[in-house]
Amino acid sequence: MKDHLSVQTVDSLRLVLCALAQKSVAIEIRAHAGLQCSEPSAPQARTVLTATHVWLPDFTPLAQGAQEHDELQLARIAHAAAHFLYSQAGRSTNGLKPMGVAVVSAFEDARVDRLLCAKYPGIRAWFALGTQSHGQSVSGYFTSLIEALTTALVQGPTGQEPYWVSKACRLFFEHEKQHGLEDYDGFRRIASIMANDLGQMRVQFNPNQYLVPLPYHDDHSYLWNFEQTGAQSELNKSIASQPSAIPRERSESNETPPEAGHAPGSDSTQRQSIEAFATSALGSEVAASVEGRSIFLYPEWYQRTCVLRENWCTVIDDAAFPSDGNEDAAPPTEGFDPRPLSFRLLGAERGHTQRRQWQGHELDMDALIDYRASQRREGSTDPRVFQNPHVRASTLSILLLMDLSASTANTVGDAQISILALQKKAALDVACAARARHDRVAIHGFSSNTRHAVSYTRFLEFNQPLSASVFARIAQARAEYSTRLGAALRHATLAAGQETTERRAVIVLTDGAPSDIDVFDPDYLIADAARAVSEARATGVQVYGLVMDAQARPYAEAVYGLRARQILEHPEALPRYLSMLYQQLRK
Amino acid sequence: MCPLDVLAEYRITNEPFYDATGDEVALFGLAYAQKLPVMLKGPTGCGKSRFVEYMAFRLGRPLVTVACHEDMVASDLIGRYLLDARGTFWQDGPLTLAARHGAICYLDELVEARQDTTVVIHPLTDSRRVLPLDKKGELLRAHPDFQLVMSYNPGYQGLSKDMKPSTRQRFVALAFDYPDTAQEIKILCCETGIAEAIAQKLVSIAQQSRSLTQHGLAEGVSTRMLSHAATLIQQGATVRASCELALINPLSDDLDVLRALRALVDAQLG
Repeated sequence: MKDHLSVQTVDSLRLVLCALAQKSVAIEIRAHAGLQCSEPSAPQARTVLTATHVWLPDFTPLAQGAQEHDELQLARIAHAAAHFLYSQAGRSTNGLKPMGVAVVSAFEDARVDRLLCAKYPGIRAWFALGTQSHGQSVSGYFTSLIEALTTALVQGPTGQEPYWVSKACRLFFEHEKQHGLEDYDGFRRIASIMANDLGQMRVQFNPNQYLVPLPYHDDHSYLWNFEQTGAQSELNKSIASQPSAIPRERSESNETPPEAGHAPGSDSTQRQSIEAFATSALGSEVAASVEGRSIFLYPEWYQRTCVLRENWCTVIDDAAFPSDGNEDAAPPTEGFDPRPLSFRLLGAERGHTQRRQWQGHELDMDALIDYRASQRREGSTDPRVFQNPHVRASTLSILLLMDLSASTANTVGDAQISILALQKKAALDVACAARARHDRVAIHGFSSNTRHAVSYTRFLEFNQPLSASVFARIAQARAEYSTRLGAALRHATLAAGQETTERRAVIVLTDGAPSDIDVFDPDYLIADAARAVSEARATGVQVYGLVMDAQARPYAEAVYGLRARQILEHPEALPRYLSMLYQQLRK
Repeated sequence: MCPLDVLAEYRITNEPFYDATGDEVALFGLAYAQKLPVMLKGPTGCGKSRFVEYMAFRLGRPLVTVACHEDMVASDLIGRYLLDARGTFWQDGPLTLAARHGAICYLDELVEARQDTTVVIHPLTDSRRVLPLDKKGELLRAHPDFQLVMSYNPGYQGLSKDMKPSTRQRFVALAFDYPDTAQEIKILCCETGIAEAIAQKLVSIAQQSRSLTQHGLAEGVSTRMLSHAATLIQQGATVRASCELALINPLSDDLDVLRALRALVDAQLG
């Protein structure tokens, strides 16, 4: 285990960052954004910080020298946390020349590093490794002075530093001793003095070639707001052109393109015929079939008048897909690891002792004693004296209901994965785990385009093998339209309610409040969804919601109740949370 | 047999260490005076069970503890007929024992028991204060000193397990949480005798781990885990090894979480 633990992953670094910074911050890797590989200067890239993200320049955890790599990454994360904790972002550069900005930034790096080391002494070792050049050559006298300065300030001076560095260290430590490290303005004044000294020394500074010398430090773009002054455009351009600069454009969606056969025209035609049928079928409670799809009509709760609008919503159920006979050719779902990480969260399989059975593998001693005692007392006897200690019949059916609305195409976290892809991964993780443990699981999805067309897709049925074609169908699922949850939930309840297991549950995976384009009252579909949840529970089907929206608390609690909703501030944690929920449901 | 003898082994002879975080001691005392059933809820290892021990000692009542589990049946609480050489005899279960002789009965993690099992406590938790023993043909009236206390963790048990409202509403509830920094350090020092500087580091690690519960960690390092780590340190283990043994490894099997926790320990200890 120790060997495995010696190599940090993006996930583990994110946890370290969030714990150190005491705030939620995402980590992204520039290489994943396709920006590093083509850049010859990539080895000299620096971390970039924004209020919500840390962009690491590289991440190759299995490379040789993994421990050094680990400590460099940890140093980068710790330095980022130090800025989040102790630096004010976006200060004005007014009154500072480019060289001054660089010197003040170096002092600020040292100040926050020392503050963090005071709180977490072990981080000094990470920084020590992070100050090593890692094969990078420092170019230019100015850069070498800044490197010597920041190293001496963070790690302590060696006495071999140039005069300018020694003077800067002396002023820094004197100020620290007198005023503490919290006094940003004081250190900024010292930095200005030292920058002025450099000017008098005729030290050349080329902002277009300047690279922050220590590999674990960031590119300083977090600290400054260059847009407030045109005088700093030179350094602004320099930072923007550094290999560590944030990608300026990001794809809003990296979802799999719609597959052939879903051409808008054909879909539209089919939808029109379905809508026509739905209109004529109003009032009918019997499901019908049009073009291979089943039509169901469901009521909707109008909270303002407290009226249940009968036959109000049309759910178009694609029914189960027939097997395509090509079980092996399907590509894996985006982001899905065939060895789900979440398996390890599920814990050991535990048998549930079936006691007081008519027959079994061994005697139930309590039941046997009861039986004999009753015989002795000539009372009524119960001859069920056996138990099956390790036989666990499936007692749980779970229907995972994915939100396929357009908003789930938005990417989060690592920029390489959309909310929909996270849902797919989480659902498949749990489906694999559930099937391995003989629990019954189904994966369905829904989206809506007005009340006349709530599209309901069955990717995996309870009694369907988890084959490659299922993976392929899930991989091809696309995000579109809106989130009319109530109607979809009623339909999912119908499916889950047909299960004969002891416990039945629908778990909704969604990224926002119920909504649709023909609804203008934001409370309407929330109230209807809450009503649908109540109806489901009344029939013995539990409903849980995993909501990937940090602002979800009011509506999530209204829909699912306080105890059956989980709000995920970080959608990347969905697979983990879904596995945990499944584990809890199994108990 | 004298009732005092029956409950002798359930008496707490040495005062357990408990540092109150608020007015929970006084409130529990008021509830006990009226024999109101008490529910203690809070995260794992925050001191619920220790509090009950402390209150039992303080009130001078024996404490009968039942660790509830999903295989538990009503007769595990109430009692059953057993066999010996002379025939059958009735053996009181822990709930009956406490109710008959006037102890505090502590049902630890009650939600782990099935709901059809927990309903047996209902007649004891309202004004009737009786326990019907159907098999024995006895209606047991609870001793005047009897009190029922239960605990559960609304965190990790919250989504899938719950009590029936009819059970839940019979209790008054005290909500527990981890102590604040200064108090947790004090608890560690008093409980284990560890140096304050090390206790500070341990508590800081725990607080960081607790901040990860929003990121997929079910529960953070508890006060109990800290106490284990401090005990190991006092026994001569290194701080790092103690953290590994008592804080990191027990908390999760997720490798990413373990890596992160180890890094946080490294950051703290140097």
